[in-house]
Amino acid sequence: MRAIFSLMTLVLIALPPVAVVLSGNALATTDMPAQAATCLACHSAATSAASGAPQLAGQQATYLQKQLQQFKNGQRGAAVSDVKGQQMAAMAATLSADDINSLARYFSKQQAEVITSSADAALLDQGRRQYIGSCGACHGAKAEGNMAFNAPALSMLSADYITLQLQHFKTGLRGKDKADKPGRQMALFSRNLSEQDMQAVAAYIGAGMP
Amino acid sequence: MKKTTIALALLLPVAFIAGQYFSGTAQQAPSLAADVSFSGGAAASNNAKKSVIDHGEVGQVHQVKPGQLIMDAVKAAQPGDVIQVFPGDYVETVYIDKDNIRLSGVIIDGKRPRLYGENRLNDAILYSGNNILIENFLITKYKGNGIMGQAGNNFEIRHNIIEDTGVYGIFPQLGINGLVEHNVISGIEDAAIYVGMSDHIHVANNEVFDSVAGIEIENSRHAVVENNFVHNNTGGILAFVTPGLPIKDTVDVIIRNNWISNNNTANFGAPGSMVAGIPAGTGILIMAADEVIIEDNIIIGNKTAGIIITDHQNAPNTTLDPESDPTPDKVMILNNLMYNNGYDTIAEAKVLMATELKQGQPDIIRVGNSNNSCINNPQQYITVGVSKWPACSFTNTDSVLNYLLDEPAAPRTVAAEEKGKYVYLGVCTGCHAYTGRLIGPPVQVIQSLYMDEPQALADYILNPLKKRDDYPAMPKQDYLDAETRLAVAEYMLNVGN
Ligand code: HEC
Ligand code: HEC
Ligand code: HEC
Repeated sequence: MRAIFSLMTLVLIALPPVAVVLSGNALATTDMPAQAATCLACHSAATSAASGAPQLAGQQATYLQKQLQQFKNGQRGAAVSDVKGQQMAAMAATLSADDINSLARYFSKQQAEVITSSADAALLDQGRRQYIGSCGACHGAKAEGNMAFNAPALSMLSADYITLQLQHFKTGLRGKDKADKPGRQMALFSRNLSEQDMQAVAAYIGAGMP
Repeated sequence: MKKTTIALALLLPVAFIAGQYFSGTAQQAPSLAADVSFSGGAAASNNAKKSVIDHGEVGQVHQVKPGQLIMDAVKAAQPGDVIQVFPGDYVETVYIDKDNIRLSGVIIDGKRPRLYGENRLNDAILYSGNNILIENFLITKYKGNGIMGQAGNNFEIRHNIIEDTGVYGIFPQLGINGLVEHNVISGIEDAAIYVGMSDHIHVANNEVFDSVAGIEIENSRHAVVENNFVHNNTGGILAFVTPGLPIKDTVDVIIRNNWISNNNTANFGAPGSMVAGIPAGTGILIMAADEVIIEDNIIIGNKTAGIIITDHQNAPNTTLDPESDPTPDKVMILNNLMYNNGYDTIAEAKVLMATELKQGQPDIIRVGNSNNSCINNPQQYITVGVSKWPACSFTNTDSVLNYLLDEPAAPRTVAAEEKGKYVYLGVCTGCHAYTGRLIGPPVQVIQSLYMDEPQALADYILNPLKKRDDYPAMPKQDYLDAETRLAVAEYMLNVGN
């Protein structure tokens, strides 16, 4: 199993220059860290639906840094059932602390591309109530994130990615470690959500509506 | 007659003390004379002054003059005492945590004492005691509440003028047996008069205007709202069940003889909050409340509709609460004068009308479910959604003078181990629902944020930091002592829906 994933990673790494062009957001190529192009093979707006990798552009640097460290030290993406997470963990293993800092800083300064999906109006309405009623209190009215709570931006994420992460929080794949306070906070909150709630709120955010 | 004599006897010592104190001063406080009724009338009237407080023997009179603090008098006062506040400015928050206090403004030459918040202070008057009377103040420029009751029973709040004061004008929370009468309130971001989680309440003869909601009866039982002048708000009179609060229903409300006009003010409630979902131009709004009687109101010039009846599913900005029945049942609409409403109504109403093959300007709109409701003489109104409602089995509520208790409610005494609970119910739930957004974030979110750190929460409420751009600031709870703050923090982190 493991071997297949690494293989896939390698295939994608072979594609970087194309991905950069596709993403259209790599304007500041001058101070672009060397590995960033590799990252964009999966994380660009154009490839993220296919790869399951979220857009990183515009995300808070501290959040990106924390996630990369967690992938690297096995707090995220280590479980056998976490197929996507394992892929990323393999990537993170190759990064030094310096790489992590400069990549996190770099992506946080890029602008995410808006990709929105559509959904059934009733589902979106349910998602809207959910979002305004609770998520917004930590992630901000426009899903722009709120540093006061270490809550990341969600506005650039796709519905599928959001749903998967909510499931991971709820089932304990994320936010389990005692020292991971932000993760535990999100995990605790996710236990209030039914599968239907998750679909609805993910659809609402994925539609770019907050 | 007999009653008058007794009252007179009780008051004599006060008049005596007051008289002594005042001899030689120019400014006289009124003597606290007993009521005497006009003797010419032939029949009894239901205008009789209602009182819900048995003041018992009147204690000492404390006088407060400009330059002094009302709070100092409150600290010195014993249950039964009267605090008279003379005209002038008072920049402070008054917190009354003892029973049987009469906080009485003295009006001289038309000037009343002014509580002035300088757009800086949060609350003007808070009380958690029982048998509290508050009268004759002018309250302005506070950020939070004008007068807020926190779980005190038997209260009378009257003859106050409240202008441009934050979120709630008069806000009794979790009180039994209370009277809100003859107040003039304007410029409030949420409800001018907000009766929250209370029972046996009488709201009468008030003027409320230029606010988002005029009068709101929320998660409360047995209330009469009568003879109020409710104009130029976003929504006039509301009977609501707010989901996510510890009391789950609103039952038995009479809304009668009110003048409800031109409530067309653009909604200026905090975006996302529940009142922000009220369409401008709403005369009366019934959301999920049961047994609401609407009788003999004059409802004119409200551009969306005279009366809207909705369940939770169809109300914007609400989340569902599995323990609250989302449906407004047994709504009873008797005769009302309705005219020139609905002239600029919302698209949803037009669509509903089209489904009934109707046109015109709706007086009454019902959306979502409602069971066992009735309406008298519906032909006089332009309606949508009520054509299947039968006639009511009665035509008036004359037999109900009010829903106040015959005997004052027993004072609420709070055992030490329940302190956290009552502060939570009486204070925090005014702004924090369990799920969904009220003024502040939901308790579920707070539980996730603070998890097992009650002390951090207790520290936050002492001196709250502004954390969210789209929420107002959370008011300081510095009037609570450290032990109580920790108790409420612990309670909040463990409470369920
Ligand atoms: C082979 C594809 C692939 C490549 C290449 C890749 N990633 Fe990822 N990355 C993923 C996937 C898939 C996820 C989502 C994992 C999950 O579902 O938990 C992810 C998640 C992340 C996250 C967490 C984001 C969030 O919002 O929580 C960060 C940060 C991240 N990657 C950074 C990088 C960086 C930096 C690089 C380049 C050095 C990189 N990735 C290269 C596939 C990839
Ligand atoms: C108590 C505050 C809080 C609430 C309420 C909250 N979140 Fe979170 N959320 C967080 C924090 C903190 C994180 C970061 C966790 C981490 O660092 O791993 C997070 C992470 C997430 C992530 C992962 C983002 C990514 O890039 O991988 C998603 C998705 C998410 N939240 C969605 C939601 C949704 C949807 C809601 C409402 C149903 C919600 N959150 C409510 C605090 C909150
Ligand atoms: C007048 C309305 C109001 C009342 C009453 C109120 N709050 Fe709040 N509360 C708010 C608002 C608004 C916020 C959001 C503040 C912000 O994000 O800047 C808030 C936020 C909070 C938070 C979140 C802090 C954080 O770190 O994000 C806690 C905890 C809290 N309140 C506890 C309480 C407790 C306990 C009580 C009762 C003693 C209470 N509140 C009473 C309005 C209120």
